[in-house]
Amino acid sequence: MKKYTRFICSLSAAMVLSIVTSFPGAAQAAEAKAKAKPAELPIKVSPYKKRPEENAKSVAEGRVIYENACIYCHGVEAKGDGPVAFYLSRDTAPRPRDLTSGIYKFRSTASGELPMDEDIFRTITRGVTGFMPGFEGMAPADRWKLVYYVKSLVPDFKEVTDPQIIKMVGTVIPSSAVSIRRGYDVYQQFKCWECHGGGGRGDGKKASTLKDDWGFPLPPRDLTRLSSFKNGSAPADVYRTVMAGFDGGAMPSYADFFEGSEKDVWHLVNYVRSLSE
Amino acid sequence: MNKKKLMTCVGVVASLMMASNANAYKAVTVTNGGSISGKISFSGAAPSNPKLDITKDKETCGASISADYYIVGAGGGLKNAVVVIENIEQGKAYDKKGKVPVDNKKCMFTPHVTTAVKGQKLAINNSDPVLHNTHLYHGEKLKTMYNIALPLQNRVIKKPLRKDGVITVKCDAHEWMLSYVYVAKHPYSVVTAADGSFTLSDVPAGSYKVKIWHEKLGESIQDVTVAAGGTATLNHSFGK
Repeated sequence: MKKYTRFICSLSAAMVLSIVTSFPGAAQAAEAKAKAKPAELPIKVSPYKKRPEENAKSVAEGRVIYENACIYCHGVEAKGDGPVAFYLSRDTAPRPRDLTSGIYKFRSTASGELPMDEDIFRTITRGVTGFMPGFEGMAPADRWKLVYYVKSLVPDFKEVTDPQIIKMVGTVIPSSAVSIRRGYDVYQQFKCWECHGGGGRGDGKKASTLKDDWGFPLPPRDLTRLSSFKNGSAPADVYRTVMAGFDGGAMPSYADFFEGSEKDVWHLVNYVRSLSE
Repeated sequence: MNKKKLMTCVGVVASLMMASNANAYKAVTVTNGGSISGKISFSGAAPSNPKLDITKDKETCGASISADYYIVGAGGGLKNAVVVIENIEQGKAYDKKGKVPVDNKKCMFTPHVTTAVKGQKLAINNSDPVLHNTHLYHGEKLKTMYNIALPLQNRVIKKPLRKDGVITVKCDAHEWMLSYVYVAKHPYSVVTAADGSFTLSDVPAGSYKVKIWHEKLGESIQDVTVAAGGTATLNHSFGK
């Protein structure tokens, strides 16, 4: 009897809780999450299997790693104001990120959403070309603990459990003259050139005044240099950048406009990548 | 069965159910409701609007645009102030599927100030032949909510407003573009007309705190008591 009551109690509590947390419209969101595949992560994924649990202990351990490896740029309080930050791009973006802001450039989630854990793991692993070093040499378990620590700095991570994921529809189209030509048309039609320039050199008519959220000048990337691809230059990386945009910067999300014509994004990816070849 | 445990169980379930209603606005039939109306004004000489520095797309945007921060009409009436009830948990129904327009037209946002109810959607459109992006920032900290590219003309993009508060709308491509969406948890919010007048109707009788907000002039909170079927008057003047 006792056992049975407890069961009923927890069952009804769970039901109410699920209504509470899912209202409104979260049922669809959960369904969409199940259907959507997060953008491909072109890094060695074997460490995922050994992912440590996310709890108070791993967060605390992550903090120790942070204080050994990250404070020089990101600062003791993770506000992006470490002692070295001053010497890195004093007057221009990007500066080391204020990790307490909850604003993430490199996401496989919709604009305005928090990133997936895997997104933060990827950034720690690969770094940001030209700006942040990669930590591929750090043990994967330690990188995960860093992810957990970084997440603990932003309360929203606990509240938002079902971020809208950018769907990766279709796959990489092998690059060809035909595909690149189509990608060029997409680049024109969707007005990428207005910021990135007709030749992709980051010198479009709108380039000169672009700023990041903190008011630092942040010119569009020169797409003719591979080293400009801060979010990665593999096809899946470029796809993710186009669709998700960069929160905190000027690059907007194109996910709404390419819905249903994702093939064009893959052609665009081939065109953009051809500029640096 | 342990009575105490049963009570704990009931308590937990009940509090969870209550939590689901906390902060949520409840639509009810308002009978014999009153209204709040009045005029928001600016006393003294109206501040002048700066000339915006048009740096690009002049063929679409025009060579010169004046900002629309202060629109003061006859008798000091202040347009584009928001009047919103601060503490109201239930009242009139509203269109939950309502769309709140944000149009990019000649490199300005129209309307300049609008109100919405949390959960409604923004309908963002680009009427211009050039690239715009609509970048929404939430609250005083200006945290990015969305940053949406609008490369194609006249294709409406709908985006839900999931947080309440002041949303600042900007366009990175045209740095002078600026507008606001005041998102309330309920439908009792209104933007003042060109003569500064406003009306909030179907307000259940009661005492309320009413906020008056203006993008540049700040905000003021006033106590207003609405009688059943009556009209409460709320006038406020910004400036000296």
